Amino acid sequence: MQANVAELLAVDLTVEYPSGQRVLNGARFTMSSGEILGLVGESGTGKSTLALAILQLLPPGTRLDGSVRFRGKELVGLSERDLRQIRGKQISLILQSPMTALNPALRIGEQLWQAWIAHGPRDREAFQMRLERLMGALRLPTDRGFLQRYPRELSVGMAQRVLIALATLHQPRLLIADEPTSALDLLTQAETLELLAELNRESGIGILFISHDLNCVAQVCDRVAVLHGGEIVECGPVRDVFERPAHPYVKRLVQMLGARTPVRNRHPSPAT
Amino acid sequence: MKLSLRLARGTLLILAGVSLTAEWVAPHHYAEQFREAINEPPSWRFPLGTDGLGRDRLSRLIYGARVSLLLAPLAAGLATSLAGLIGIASSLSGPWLERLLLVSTDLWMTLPWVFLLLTARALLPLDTEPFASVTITFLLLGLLGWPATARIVAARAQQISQATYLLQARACGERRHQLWFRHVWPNLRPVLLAQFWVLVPAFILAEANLSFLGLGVSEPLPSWGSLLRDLENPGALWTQPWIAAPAVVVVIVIACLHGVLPETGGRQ
Repeated sequence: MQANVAELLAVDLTVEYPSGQRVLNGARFTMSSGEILGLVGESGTGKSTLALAILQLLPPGTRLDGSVRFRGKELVGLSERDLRQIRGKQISLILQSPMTALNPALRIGEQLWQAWIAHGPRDREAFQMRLERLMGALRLPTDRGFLQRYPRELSVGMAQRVLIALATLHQPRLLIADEPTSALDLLTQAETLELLAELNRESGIGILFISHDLNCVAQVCDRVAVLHGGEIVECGPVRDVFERPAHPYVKRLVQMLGARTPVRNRHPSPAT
Repeated sequence: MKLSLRLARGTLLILAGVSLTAEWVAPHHYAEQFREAINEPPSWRFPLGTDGLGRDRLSRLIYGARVSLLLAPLAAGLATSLAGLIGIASSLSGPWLERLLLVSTDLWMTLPWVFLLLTARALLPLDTEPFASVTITFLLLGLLGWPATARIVAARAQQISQATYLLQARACGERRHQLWFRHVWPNLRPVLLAQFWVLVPAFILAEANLSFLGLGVSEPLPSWGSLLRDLENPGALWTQPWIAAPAVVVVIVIACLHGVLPETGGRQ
């Protein structure tokens, strides 16, 4: 594969769990800078594994073969030290359920501060300034009272946005969002999608949007990759894949989406 | 705050205050003998009567509270720290060391530790200094009381190490010490605190049991256990019901400690 200037991420991964189960089997795709790529597939097909594998965060004992190239740099085999420098600064991850991804014993402000000093200087002022901009963009309050809250005192939608703030604090090049909408109701789902699209428009951040919801993918993504049986069976612009699916599995998926679309149109969600 | 909780707290505070200021509060010194007044019933001079050696029972109860109320928390602190260290070490270490630590914890737990305490204490000479006997008794309690807590800490640490928020923090690129002090420790602390408060009353009772057998705090220093020895003769209870006062106080303190417990342990 030729190294492309605009290439953000090139993945070719085989992952085997300690139990011997092979979750990913040569899953291969590329992303270019500033695009939103949807990664779809059924539950249990290894979408989350792929997300963790990109950041080399798989549990110990997991076998990982292949390569993850981020802006021309190979991440597989990198030392934990070097990986730490990349995590959260260049590539961020948002884990599935916002309520468990936030530490229940830490106030929101403290959690954001910890993520800040992981890469930035211990500069309260700079932190405050960055926070104000970010929280404004995410439509979150910045007053002390809010930052003093514990995660359990937030709504799921708010927790989700705090998580996005946590992940975009250092303006990474790539944001991996693992099912960011699956725990949300329709309204907050639409809001989150809008926020992600906005982030992408304004800061040119590349987003790997992992979801099993084709509707969400169709709404925000430029391209879509379909994971099935440990491989990417189809990858291309959203319209192409949804209108002319080639792989039988993708055909079935799209048919199901087609069957649901009219229902959505008759009952548009309040946010649209 | 619930009334029962306030009551429990208040009672404990008052008792702790009284026992700390025993020198001023107690009518007499704990070892002072009034030979003309042996086994006296309660009077203005001796509110709870005197014992067989002519010592004021109330004063001994107050001084005894100091031994139990101060040293039990110290012993509980020692046991909780040991449990914390061992529990955390086992969850941080590799599979081999973890197994070794947990197996030795289990082994330690299966030891007949009341018997061990008795043996260890019986090995000490009878004329051990009263203060040394107190220290040794609670040191033994602290050293023997950690395994169950260590098990709980290890289980909780294991659970935290697999928590999503820890993975999220790692994905944010946080450093090892941040993960440890900012993410793991705040979640582990409530468990240790709760365990501490469970151990305090357990140790108070353990000391009382040992001293009741004559193997705890040695004379003339009073402790609740040694005061309970006067109850050995049940017949005496009918003729001198006031000698049951130490037992009543022990029951009240234990009940109060259990009353304060959920508030401390349940806080996130």
